[in-house]
Amino acid sequence: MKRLHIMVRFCLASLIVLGFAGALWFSHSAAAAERLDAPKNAAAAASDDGALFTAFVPVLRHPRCMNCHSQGDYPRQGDDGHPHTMNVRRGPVGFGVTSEKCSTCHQDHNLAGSHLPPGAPGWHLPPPSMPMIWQGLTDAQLCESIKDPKQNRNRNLDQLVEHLTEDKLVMWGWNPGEGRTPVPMLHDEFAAKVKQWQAAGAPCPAR
Amino acid sequence: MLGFSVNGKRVDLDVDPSTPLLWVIREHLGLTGTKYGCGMAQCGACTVHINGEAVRSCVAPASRASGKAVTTIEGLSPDLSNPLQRAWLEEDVPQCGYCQSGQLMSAAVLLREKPSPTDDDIDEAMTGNICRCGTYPRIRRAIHRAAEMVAKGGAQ
Repeated sequence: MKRLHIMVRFCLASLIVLGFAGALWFSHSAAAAERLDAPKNAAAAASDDGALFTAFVPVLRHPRCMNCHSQGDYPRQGDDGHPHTMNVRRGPVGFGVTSEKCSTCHQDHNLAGSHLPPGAPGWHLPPPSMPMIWQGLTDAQLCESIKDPKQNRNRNLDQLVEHLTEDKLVMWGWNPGEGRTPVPMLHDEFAAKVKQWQAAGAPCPAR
Repeated sequence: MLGFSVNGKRVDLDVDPSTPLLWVIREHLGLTGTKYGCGMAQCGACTVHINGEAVRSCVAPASRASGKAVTTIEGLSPDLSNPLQRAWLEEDVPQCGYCQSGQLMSAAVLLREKPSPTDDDIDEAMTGNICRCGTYPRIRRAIHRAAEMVAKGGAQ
């Protein structure tokens, strides 16, 4: 009887040891698989036809961004992108003209109340020498455009990512003031997607 | 304490920095030439200059003027000698007059940057200043007239 007990205990102990060993082997294999997969993921990203870019492009195409990156020599307003009232123009450096400069009405902060001028530090349009017009571009063209230093105010990729994720005027899109729709993605999620795109080599859609 | 200059005079005021500059100008300093129109930067009646640039004082917090030079309609000239003021009188521009100080302050920035403005330049600069009496044709003529005065040597 005592011998039977010893055998049972031995079998149980063996099962436990085998179980641990199996678990260890599985987790090690999974980790190895992950490590092996990592370069594959990066390679896939580089040829993902721009999926990492298009993941955050709804923000770039939202009226909060597009109203200042649109065609024409003027800013736009509203979710319908109508031309800015008062015949406001881009001006020689993107800050408006004469008595209708951006700073005539816009402060460095939003004003409380609907239909009051929104604001953020450095409120302006891209300058006419580099107007950064995104309206009418395909995703591929938009991607190439924002990466091109000749079209993005001489920003390298790090500076572009910093602009997209930290610039106070860009950040305004998440806090546009009363009566305006914010951009359609949480900022943390947007920043993570932009940095994921950057880490993969900033691939663009093929066309 | 908020310090800035108004029409060349230094002022130091104990006001909440978020107070609209318009109220500081009108209520604290008694300069009532600058008018309250819409209160939301839509009409231009409250236009003044901060460091020479047109600003809608109804929405600008007083803190924006801190350390800077504010010019109101009273400071455009001490004796109505500014070419714009003279042209305004000669063309008999105002009807009710309520918007005219804002019109003049906007026109002053226009003429400084474009001494010989075209009609398009005037439209570009002045569209944001609303006149419910519809004095726009006279405003345009007066700006052209003032531009001629400046071109002939009249100081702006």
